[in-house]
Amino acid sequence: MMHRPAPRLSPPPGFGAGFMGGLVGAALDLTGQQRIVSLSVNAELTDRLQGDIPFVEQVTLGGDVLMRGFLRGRLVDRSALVATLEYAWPIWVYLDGVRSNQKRGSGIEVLVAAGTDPIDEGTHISSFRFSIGTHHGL
Amino acid sequence: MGFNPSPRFALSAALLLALAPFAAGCGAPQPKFALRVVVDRDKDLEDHKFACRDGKPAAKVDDPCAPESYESSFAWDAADNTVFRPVAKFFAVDPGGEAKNVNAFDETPDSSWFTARISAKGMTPDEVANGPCLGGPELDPEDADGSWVIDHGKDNGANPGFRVKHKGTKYMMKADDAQVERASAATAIAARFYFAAGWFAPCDSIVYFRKSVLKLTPGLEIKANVGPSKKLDQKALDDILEKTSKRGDLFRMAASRWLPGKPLGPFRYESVRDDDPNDVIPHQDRRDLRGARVMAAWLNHFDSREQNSMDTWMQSEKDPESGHVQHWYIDLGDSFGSEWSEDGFSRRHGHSYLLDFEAIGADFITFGIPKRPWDEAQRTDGAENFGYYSARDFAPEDWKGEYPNPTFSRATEHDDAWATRIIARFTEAHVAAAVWAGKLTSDFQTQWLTRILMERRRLILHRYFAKLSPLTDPKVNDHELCVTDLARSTATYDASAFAYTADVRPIDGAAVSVPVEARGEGAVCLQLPASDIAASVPPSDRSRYRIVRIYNHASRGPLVVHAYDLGAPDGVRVVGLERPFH
Repeated sequence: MMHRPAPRLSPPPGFGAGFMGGLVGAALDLTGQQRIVSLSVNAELTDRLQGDIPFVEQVTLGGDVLMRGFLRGRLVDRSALVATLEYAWPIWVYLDGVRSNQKRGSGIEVLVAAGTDPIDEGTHISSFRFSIGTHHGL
Repeated sequence: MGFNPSPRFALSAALLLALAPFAAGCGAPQPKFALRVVVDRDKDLEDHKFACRDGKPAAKVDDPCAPESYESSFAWDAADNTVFRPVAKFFAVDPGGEAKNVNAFDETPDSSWFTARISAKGMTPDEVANGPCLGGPELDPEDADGSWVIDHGKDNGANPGFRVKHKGTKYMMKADDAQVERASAATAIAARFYFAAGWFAPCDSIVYFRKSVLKLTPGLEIKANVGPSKKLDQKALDDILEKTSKRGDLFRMAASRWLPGKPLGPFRYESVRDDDPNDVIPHQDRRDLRGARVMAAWLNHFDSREQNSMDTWMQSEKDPESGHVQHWYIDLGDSFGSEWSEDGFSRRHGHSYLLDFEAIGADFITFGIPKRPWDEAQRTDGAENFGYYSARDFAPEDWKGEYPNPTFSRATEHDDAWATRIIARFTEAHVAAAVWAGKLTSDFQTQWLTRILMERRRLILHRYFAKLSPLTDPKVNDHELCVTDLARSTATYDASAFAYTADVRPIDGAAVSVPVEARGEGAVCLQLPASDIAASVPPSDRSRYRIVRIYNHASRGPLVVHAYDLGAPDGVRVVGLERPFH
């Protein structure tokens, strides 16, 4: 899956915003043989300073960034809190095995994800996704 | 009212009456084995005339007409056996069945593929150490400067090298790689195991030599597996020598004596060679090829694909227009832990195919929870150059080569047990003698490799002697029948596991138990009841037929001995052996 930045439109005149984000995570190799479980929490926030924030400047999930499996551009808002529980295990030399040169190979991914409404709207699960894909590299 | 049969009824009744005597005959049990000499030599060792093709003139001694050469595609063979063949065979009704070239003693007759050596006549450790080199010329490191003429590059293969010619004999010189001494040792040691067992293998020997003994012929090239050819000039030669193992000022390489006969390319692991009238048994149905899977497993000769085999046309000395095809195992240098640049493959060698859809699928759906042998593969301290070769996690029946082999895939329990009976003949002294031929610098590595081979041998014996009887080598003295229990003679199981019982029955009579005596070195003897058959009864009469079942109770199945009681003075003659599962 190639990472291709979405085109950004020019912000409207009089617009001002601050962007903040953070990631906390931990990973554990359960057996010492590349059975790795990891948990991470990622928060992103777009804070309005002046004028309205155009949607292209808001936090966007899906695509090949956070919440993979969701179509990019469908989950857009001023803030996002994403928790990711990941389990990776090798199934072949080039499939999520850590190779002898310490570089990651390709991976087959099975993604299960749920998206909720914003916190101020009750965080009800409003969408659910199941997808299968591959990636190469980190 | 009278019975008035129809013409059809009358005809049917007449037919039944006519066939009644034959039906009665069919009901009586018949001897499974006839009274005749057991076939111990295949006719494919006999020379045959080979007509020249395309108007070529009659055969010359130095350029004989011979079957067509076969060139095996490196990439296609892998792709075909990994992907296309499994898909094509998926829906095919193609049951394996038992091997075709098996004689009445459950053995393979000597042939151009396999000639029983250690299992037939026994071998001394010295004979194993000399192996295929016995009696032929070998390179002498004390030869004069410039007397080893390099006349050809070493095409293909994982390890670089070149060919030298010395006193009319050619030798393929194979260098070591980063795994110091392993590849050269492997080719020399493995060739001795294959040869002693019965397959045909080249005389591969370790030589330590001075650089000055070599003389490079200008203008040589080396063909690679993939990519363009490279020049074999002085710089390329220096690179080969720089990378190979050394002892002081001497360079170490494996010298493989050129095979006799005219090379015809590799043999195939399926079908037959169309232009060889001796080749009548489909290769995938040959026991000697199927059983080679166990031999490859023992040594971890994972690169046991068709490219590492060779056919040669052995021209008759008497008639240059005649000859036969001989089949060889060559290039055994991957044995004993060859490593690839990708560590994941090195760990998997012997445990999975390079691209093993079954293993990938299993690991995927089980979330990697089951531990795999390659997860815990480790190198041995002091023997790191032998990679991941070890007895740890070695499961003979699960052993796999680089990619599926159409013959190995059809091996049955009987084929594997056949190979195991041969491997059982290798004592520790034999194994040590073969390892000695590797001329390893480290005494520790010599002893370690011997120990690992013995442990892997024990695991093979433990597995394949569990189901089918390991009793073999029937010998009869008058009415005393003795066999050898290979499981007991090799201490495969605890001594308390062995308890012998036997029964004897005529072809249509009841079985009678007979006492069995366990003797030293695995000997098992019993006395067959003497019969009172009149001398006038023909030798092959069914009344003389005896069926003896011998259990050792450490293995599940019995040895079933079929014999004719010929009376005095000929005694009992064994005509067949069977090893059923129960």
